[in-house]
Amino acid sequence: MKIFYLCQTAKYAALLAGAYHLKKLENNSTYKEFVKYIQNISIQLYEPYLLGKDESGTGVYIIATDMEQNLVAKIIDSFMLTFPNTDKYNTIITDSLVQPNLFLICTLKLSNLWPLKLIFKKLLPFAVWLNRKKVYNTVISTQT
Amino acid sequence: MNIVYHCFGGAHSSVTAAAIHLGWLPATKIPTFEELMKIPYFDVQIGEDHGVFRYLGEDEQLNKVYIIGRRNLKDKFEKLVYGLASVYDWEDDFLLINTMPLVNWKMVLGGYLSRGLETPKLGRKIVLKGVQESFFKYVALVSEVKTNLSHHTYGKHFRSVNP
Repeated sequence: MKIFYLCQTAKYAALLAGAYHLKKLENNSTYKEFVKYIQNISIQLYEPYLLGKDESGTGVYIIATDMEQNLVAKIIDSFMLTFPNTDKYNTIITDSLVQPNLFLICTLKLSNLWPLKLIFKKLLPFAVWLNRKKVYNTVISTQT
Repeated sequence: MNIVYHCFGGAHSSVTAAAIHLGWLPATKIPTFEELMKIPYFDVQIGEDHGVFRYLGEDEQLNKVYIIGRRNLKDKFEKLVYGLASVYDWEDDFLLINTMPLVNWKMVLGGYLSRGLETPKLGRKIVLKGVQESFFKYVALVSEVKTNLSHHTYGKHFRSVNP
C-alpha cells in the first residue's frame, strides 16, 4: 500500500500531512517543532519522496509541487492505469490541503510574483501551519 | 521500452511525432490535411484530457508508443514520471521525448483556437498548415530517436530527449 500526499505549497502542506500520518508530529505540536522537522528534509519538487512507512507498512510519499497539482494527480492516476504493474488499487492519492484559508491563498499567489517572492516564500511555512487542523483532518480521513 | 512523446496539449505535436514513429505517416512527403486528421487523437484532446497517457501502438522493435499532454510541466513532468517508475520498481525503460521545441507559431495559434477555445473551424486549418511546415523537423527527430534506439544509445535506464 502507498499513500501520496500532494500539495501546491512547494512542500510544506504535504510534509505536514506526512508527519502527522507517521506520527512524527502530534496534533498539539508547536510551530517550532514543525519548522525543525521540515528543515531536516530536503526534497525535490515533483519527485516522489518516501517519507517513511507507517505501523501497517504503508509507504508514505510526498510529492511537492508549485503548480498544476490537479494535473500531477491526474498523471499519477493515469500512470497507474497505463502501466499495469503499478498497483492502482493499493494506492491513495490525497490532496494534503483541500481548502486553504485566504492568507495561504494570498501568500501562494504573492510568492510567485518576482519582487515579492523572497518575502512571501519565507512566510509559506507559517501560512501552512495556520491550516494545520485542515491538514490533520485530511490525514485522519485518509487513514480511515 | 515505453516511448512517451509529450507536448502541451497532446493534440498535434506529440501525436504527429508518434504517428511518424509508428509509420502511419510516410517520412518522405508532407502529409495532406486528410492524412493528418485520420491520426487517432489528432486535434481531438481538450483540457480535460491533459495528464492522461494515450497508447498509440507498438513499433517494429516492439517498443510501446504513448502520447500525453502535460501543459507547462516540461522537465517537471519528466521528474515525476521517472520518480513514479522508481517508486513502482518499473522494470522497462522509459524514453520521454519533448516535442514542444518543434512547435511553430501556427501550431500554437491554431492549437489554441481549435483546442483551447474549442473553435476548430477557426483553428484547425492554421494548425494543420503549421504541422505541414514543421513536418520534416518531426521526421528528423523521430529518425534520430529510432537510430539511437537501434544502436542502444539510450542505455538501460530512463532517458529524456529534448530536441
